[in-house]
Amino acid sequence: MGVRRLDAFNLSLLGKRCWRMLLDKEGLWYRVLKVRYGEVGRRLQEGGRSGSSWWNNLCHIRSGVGEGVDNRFDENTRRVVGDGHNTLFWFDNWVGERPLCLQFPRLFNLAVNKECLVEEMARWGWKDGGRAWVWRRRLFAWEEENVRECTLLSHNIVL
Amino acid sequence: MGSVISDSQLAFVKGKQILDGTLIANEVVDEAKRLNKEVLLFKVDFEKAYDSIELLYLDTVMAQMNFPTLWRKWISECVGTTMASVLVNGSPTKEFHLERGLRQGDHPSPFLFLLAAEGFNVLMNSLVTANLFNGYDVGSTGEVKLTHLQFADDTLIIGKKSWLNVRSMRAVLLLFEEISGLKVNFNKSMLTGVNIYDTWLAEAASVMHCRRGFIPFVYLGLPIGGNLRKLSFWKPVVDSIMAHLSLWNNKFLSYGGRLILLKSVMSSLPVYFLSFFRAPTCIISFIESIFKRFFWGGGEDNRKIAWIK
Repeated sequence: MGVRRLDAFNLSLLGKRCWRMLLDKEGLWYRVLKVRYGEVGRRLQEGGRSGSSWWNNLCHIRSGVGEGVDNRFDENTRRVVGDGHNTLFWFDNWVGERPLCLQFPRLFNLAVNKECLVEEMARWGWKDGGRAWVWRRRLFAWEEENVRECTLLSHNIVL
Repeated sequence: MGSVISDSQLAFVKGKQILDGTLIANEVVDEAKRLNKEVLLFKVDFEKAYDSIELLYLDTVMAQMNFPTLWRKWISECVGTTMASVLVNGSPTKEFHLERGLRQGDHPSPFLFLLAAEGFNVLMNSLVTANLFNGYDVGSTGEVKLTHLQFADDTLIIGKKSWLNVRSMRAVLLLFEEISGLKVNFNKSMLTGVNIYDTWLAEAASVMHCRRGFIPFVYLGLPIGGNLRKLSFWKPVVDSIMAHLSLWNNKFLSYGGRLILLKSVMSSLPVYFLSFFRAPTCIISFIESIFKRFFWGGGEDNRKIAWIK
């Protein structure tokens, strides 16, 4: 009858906080969280046992625990690449369906520079044999195949 | 506006929210609890904040911030030419000039108040650089040091446990009163701490001439440092809903009237709590069951049949 459903309402209000985590990275509150929990790939880490219960709740909402989906928040937000100065190559969801670190976990593990920007990768050249690809060791044949797939994805992107 | 106001002020500036302050305070208290750090928290209560700002001081602050002279003239014209007269036995007295006080409800007032409160921020920062006050380090790296949070006149001072801090807190507040006219109400202010002995805290509170508070305490309308899973944490929300229920004797309202009341009043009561805290399922279902019973016409203890879901 149009009465507010408190549970869904609560979720959406806290979802706004997740959204602000993506936008307001300079704010004092973000820096406090960053110092306390650390940041990998521009994403705040989960607190685990030493996190406050508020933060653990928020992390659950961000990752969609108890809803039957993984990484709900990350998978349903996308970055639109402008000049690539703010977008992380591996972590952000900017090409294809998912972030590249999830699409090509093997390559991600082998990459030397994990926090590089899209813009840097383009400058160094990500086409075949470009200098952008720096690996920890020589790649196997099937891994080379992966790289080719990956370049195909980003092939028609012009920054 | 955002460029002259420091990070620790969270009111009326674009891109900042009241909940940011709650968040920071909550994380600080929680971290101190978990890592056994000693934190001193002092919640400041300003007496009639808007009405007691010295206008001359406001002008000085704006001059320090390099506002152009013409602009300052406009502002002092706007706020400084107020006349007032008092009704004595029904007849107005002669009009006189007001020397302090911003008018509430005036559009630029909140922003002017921010400028005035910025003076407090400057004072705190100079205390820190002079090593007279030790802020609280978040994390272990010491990258972020917190000394105070401000939301308009709601100020929270955060520091390490030391007598020096207690003394300089009192000194800085008295000094601020002297220059700005904002008087601190020490009786209503509250000193509390995490991992600090009661006796030490009580002694410090008596030095400050203020009350001594307990964790969880309320800052900006939300409890800080409480346990989300406890029923007592959510008691204020449930109580406010209950208070509305008992005021409206629902016998005299039709179904339609009750529905409107439910939709427009009751369901917005818990919004502020829910916008920061994740409510446990049992609390949500408890509140919803109160709503349902109210709608279908049951009282505090008798239930009625719910005809549709």
